[in-house]
Amino acid sequence: MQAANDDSSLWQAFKNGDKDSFQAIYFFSFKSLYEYGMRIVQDPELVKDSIHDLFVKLWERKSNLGDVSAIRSYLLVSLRTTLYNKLEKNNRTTVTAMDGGRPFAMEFSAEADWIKRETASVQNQKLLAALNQLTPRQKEVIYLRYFEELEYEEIAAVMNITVKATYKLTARGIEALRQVLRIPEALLLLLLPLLWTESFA
Amino acid sequence: MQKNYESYSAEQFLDDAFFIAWVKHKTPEAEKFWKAWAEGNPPNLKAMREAEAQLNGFLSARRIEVNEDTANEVWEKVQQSLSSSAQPVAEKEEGHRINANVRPLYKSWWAAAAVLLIIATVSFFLIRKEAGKEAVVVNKGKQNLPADVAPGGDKAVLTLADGQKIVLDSAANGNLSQQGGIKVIKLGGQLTYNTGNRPAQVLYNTVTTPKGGQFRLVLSEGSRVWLNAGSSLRFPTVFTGTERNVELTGEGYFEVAHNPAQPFTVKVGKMDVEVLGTHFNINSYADEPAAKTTLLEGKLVVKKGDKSLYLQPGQQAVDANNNASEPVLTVNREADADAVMAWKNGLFIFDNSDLPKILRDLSRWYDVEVQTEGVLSGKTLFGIVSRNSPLSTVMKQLKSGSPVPFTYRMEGKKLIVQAAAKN
Repeated sequence: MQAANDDSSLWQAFKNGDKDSFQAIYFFSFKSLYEYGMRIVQDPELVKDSIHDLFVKLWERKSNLGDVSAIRSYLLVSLRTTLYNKLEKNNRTTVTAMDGGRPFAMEFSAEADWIKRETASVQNQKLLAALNQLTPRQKEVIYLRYFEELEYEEIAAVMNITVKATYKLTARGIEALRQVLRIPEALLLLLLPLLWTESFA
Repeated sequence: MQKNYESYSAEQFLDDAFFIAWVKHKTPEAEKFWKAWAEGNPPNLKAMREAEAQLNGFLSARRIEVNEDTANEVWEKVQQSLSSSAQPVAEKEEGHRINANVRPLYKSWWAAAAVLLIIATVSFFLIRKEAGKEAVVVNKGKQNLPADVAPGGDKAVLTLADGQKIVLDSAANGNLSQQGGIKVIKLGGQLTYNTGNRPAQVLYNTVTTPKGGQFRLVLSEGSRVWLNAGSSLRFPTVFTGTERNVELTGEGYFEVAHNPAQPFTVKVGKMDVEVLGTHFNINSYADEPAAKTTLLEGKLVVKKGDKSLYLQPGQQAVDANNNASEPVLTVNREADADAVMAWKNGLFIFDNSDLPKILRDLSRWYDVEVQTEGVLSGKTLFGIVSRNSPLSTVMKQLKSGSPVPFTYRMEGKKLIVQAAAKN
């Protein structure tokens, strides 16, 4: 992950109209944006269009933009919003903050090298089964934390995680989750609201 | 600054940047470090391997590849759109603006006016712990507390049978004491009692947590106890005879080892909580009006005076007359068992609590004196906050979500909360 300093000056240069910086930001972020977008919508054309629209808008409104110290997470939020707006327009459905059951494409595979190295123990299989049963939003949190290596606040911002009072928390759900997976406390907090909409049996 | 990896739990490894980087990238230096560390036979090697396996599990997700051509292709289109237009693309999307700043990290909003329950905000501001040092994460907006209050931690004092006191937070990990055939081992925030093969002498120990402290115990027969702040547990080093008896003040969560031949009783003031193998929570602070015993699993009976109350899992026995001997025992069927014991999982869950009650809980964990002015009760709140947050974060969340408006300030170690007119 780039140091905050690098991000800030790159962003400033772009805001001031430096085309090279703008291009650098684009190519530095493209892979992340594309992969993230595909996990959310599984539609390459839609993802490419959204990335296109995002960067066009960025350049056109550059003088109005504020300071950004973590470009990647900022762009991920923006991409997510752009994608959802397009989905809404196309499907005429309202996508709520918790976005119901939109899938998040993430498949945990037993073919990875590490499995081959170790004997296919019951423990590993149990783990993979548990991972594949995670809800879309839970998978998204794990993706942003361990693949994109975002900080927790960034994840919360990207996913716009908020909480509603009517949820009845099942801490049994937490316990059940904990029996199969070790969850860092900070991550657990982000997964919590998601445990409320879908029960982890 | 050396990180004390030997005391890490699996969860802590999964939160550690160096550990994550090692599993992900396996650089030669990192490999060397962790190989050497593992060969040093650390006590938590199992936890580390668990974390490693789980992280590998996460990382086994199939990647979505994208080639350079795609990136170039879209870039070409971006260039074209920009050079050809004076107009912004997709004007219909005016309504949605790309927010220059990252969105506010949390929102709180009000429920319908008449409803008592109010929406909670999850505390996102988390402290990233580097061994011994706490860095407060970015908190946008003005700090109301000039010097922030750090949250509680694993702190306790062990008093041995002969009166000797050992401060557990500063004690080294490992064998703490040998008393009458029992080994006492400290590891991080947990104390374990191990019986040897020889018959042991029964000696009484007490573990006391200060305000701002918490600690875990594993008793000699395997029962586990989590002690919350401002609490104490007095217990024998080994259980002989037909009963297992311990004494609690404050709050403790218990997971009692199943042994029908030796019923387990927790004495709490004049109240007895008798169990077989069960998981339950007892909350009996002197400054709380009622003592609450909540059963999660198993069987339990609460006895006081000549009254007894049998509980089913999920139920809570309330002794409304905590400090008096005459019991007023009732079953509260609406208690949320899970909310009651969330503290043991590192969370505050306020379930239908009013502000004064929340402030009492905060006072114990943050070790601050709370002074209230005006009427703060009347409406209840529902919320979840990490116990690892600094006090300023919690107060900010509380203030924005509270149905009862208030202002607050710190004066030294005192938190002053004032009921306010609606702002």
